[in-house]
Amino acid sequence: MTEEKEEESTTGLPWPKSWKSAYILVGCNFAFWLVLLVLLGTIGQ
Amino acid sequence: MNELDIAVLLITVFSITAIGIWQTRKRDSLSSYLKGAKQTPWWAIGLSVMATQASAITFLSTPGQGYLSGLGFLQIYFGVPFALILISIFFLPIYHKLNVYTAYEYLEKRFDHKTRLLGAVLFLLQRGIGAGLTIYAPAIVLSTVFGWSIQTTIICCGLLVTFYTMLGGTDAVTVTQKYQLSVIFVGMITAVCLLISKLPPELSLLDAMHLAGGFGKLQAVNFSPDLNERYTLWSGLFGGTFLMLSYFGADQSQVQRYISGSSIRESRLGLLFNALCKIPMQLFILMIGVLMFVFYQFREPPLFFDSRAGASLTTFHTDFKKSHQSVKQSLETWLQAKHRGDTASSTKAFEQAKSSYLDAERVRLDAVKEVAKQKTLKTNDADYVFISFILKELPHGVIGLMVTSFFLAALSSKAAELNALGASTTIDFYMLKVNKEATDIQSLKATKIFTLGWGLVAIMIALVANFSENLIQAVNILGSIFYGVLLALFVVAFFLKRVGGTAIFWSAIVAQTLIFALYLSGTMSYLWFPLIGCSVCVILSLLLQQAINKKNPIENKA
Repeated sequence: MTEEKEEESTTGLPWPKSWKSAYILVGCNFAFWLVLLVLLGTIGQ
Repeated sequence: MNELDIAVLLITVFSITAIGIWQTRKRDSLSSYLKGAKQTPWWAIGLSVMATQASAITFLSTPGQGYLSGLGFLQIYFGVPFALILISIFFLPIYHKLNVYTAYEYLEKRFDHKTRLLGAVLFLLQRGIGAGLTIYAPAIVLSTVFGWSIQTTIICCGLLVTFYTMLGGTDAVTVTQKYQLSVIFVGMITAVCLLISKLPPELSLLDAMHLAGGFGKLQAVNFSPDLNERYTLWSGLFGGTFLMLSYFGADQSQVQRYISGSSIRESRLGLLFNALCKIPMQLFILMIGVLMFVFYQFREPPLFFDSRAGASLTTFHTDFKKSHQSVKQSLETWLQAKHRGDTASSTKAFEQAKSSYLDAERVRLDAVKEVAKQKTLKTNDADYVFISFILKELPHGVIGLMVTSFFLAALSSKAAELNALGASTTIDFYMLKVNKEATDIQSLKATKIFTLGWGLVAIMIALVANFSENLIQAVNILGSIFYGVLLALFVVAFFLKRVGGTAIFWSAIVAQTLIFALYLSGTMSYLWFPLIGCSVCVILSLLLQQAINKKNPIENKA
């Protein structure tokens, strides 16, 4: 039971440790690519 | 293709298949056959999820899409990160907790028999046709280019994948996908390196980007609110999230990949790995098309990449060649002026190049109109761009590696589809309707027979298929038609506890009919279908449930 709970709350990775941080990382990663793509669209214009 | 290319193809394809069969030879119970040995680590789940989605169409057709239309197609994947986060939070824990074989089993636990069957039917219909498409797509391109018989290509490819999926089950799919994806990426990276090396030496990568941007190929984000535009930020974010949520959350071919994880943590990490990698991976593939576009500004491209149209287009060649020559000369002048720091001349030359490019495009579009008159050919030649470049510009050995990559990509996604089709037919129909008392051995045998059956169905669909759309779009359109309603079944199941089986069942039927009507009317981009299908189904189910409650208040209280 405790093991199951621990599995629910941690990623088991050195970083990010919590699932919440992992989801934030995914969101930030998307924002990074979106900004990069918008900037890419301005090249040569 | 010469002997070296054929040797690379045969050795790689057969050795990966043999490894897959050998490593998974002891899957002799239904559980180990459908869910694997439950030892799959997160990175293998991640690769398997990625390989299932990335079929041969992805690698053959997407670079052509980038060549012709630029990076705009990338917006379809904007929903992937959000969809995968939602699945990790809501779908995954339920699938793991209930220990289900198929996603549709959950629908019976939550609603009733008929809703489960409806979910399974929607999946089997969509994926059954899709399986034919994933086998037809690479076959039509490869057979056209190499002059192979399309029937032979479809049958060989189809039988090989059916054989190893039938023998090894889920683990065979996961194990082979790992190796297949590695070969595919080696192939794609090699192609990019060779493509860059073939650009004119005086053209830096920054210049190449400037050129592509100036010619409108780097516009990846479209902020237009127009519903008719196929790819916009909004259709990608909202429509795309619903499309991907349905695909990853309710399509058994994906669900089966991540429920085979050794724990919920491994499955979740595998999904988040995809949430991180999907956009850069697709950008990389589209950028191959953009780089090919730059390459072909200095080397005359074919007027139409599907070589079968060649003879009918001779009248356009002179004008096209003239315009292209003008583009090339202007770009050379642009580069020279740029390197000596003459901004005024470089700007003038670049503008001249753009104007000549538009002339060449006009000639090309006239040629496309001519192609349209020949009813046997598709007007969209995006599927032939990359393979045509590979055959004309890359050395032998690398050609073999690239063709191997396409074959392996076809096998990897097809295997996952067959595995899921076999599983759903056994669990949701055979064990539910045909043989309720089936023993483990009987069910395992039935799954293998159904997998073989679906393999043969896919081969037959591929043999009679004819799609007017570009292949990568045809796959997404097909998914969009069915996925919204399929997703709605799960959304209502998870979040609207007061809605019962009858309400959701009839709402799903009405919503699916509406989506068919919308598709046939052609009034909006297909990316909105999942969102509309899902929303209509959810709202209708709430209204219908309210009506049922009013009609039978006592019964419902009880």
